Amino acid sequence: MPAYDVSRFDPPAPVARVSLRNPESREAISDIPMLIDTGADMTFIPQAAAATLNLQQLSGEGYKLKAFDGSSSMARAVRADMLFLGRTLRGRYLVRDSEVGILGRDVLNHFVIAIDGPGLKWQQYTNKENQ
Amino acid sequence: MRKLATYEGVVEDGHVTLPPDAHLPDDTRVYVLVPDMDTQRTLQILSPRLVDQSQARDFVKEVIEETADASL
Repeated sequence: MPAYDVSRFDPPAPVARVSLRNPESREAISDIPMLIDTGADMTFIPQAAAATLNLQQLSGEGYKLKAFDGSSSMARAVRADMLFLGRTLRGRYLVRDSEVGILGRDVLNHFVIAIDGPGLKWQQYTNKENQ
Repeated sequence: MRKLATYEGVVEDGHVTLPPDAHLPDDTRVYVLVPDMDTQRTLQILSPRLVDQSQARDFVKEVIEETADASL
């Protein structure tokens, strides 16, 4: 059962480890930390991972974002495969310059995940009646 | 074996200033060690949202593979 990240977040936060793959070259890297953030619309992958996989930025001006503190920013998108909890999700991902990415609702809404705050751990919820 | 050189510098207005005798060529990769600094470091992530919510359709994911083992 994956544990919360107590070293980088205070209070501790649920962080998943995912793999990313370049859909064209099939090159992949694993063990990328991603904050489970149901407040985030989109999923962001770390810039370093995108660079390592040589993921090509998609054309266009990028996407204008707003954080809950009101600050605005722009983010560029890449196309990638994300391997998480036994599924491979192909599509467009935003990129952020941080060591930890963000799993937003575009990915999280594919899964049932149980958050155990007191236990500082999370897991995929496998109750078949709720699948 | 790689050679290692160390210099003591100071941070001024966000830039590291090295001593005059440190002649480093452009594009030299350097690493900065900060002694005696409070190492508590926490990330703050501010749940970004799209300003134009109609762009959310650009991020619909295609599930292309599923494996029997759904564990991490």
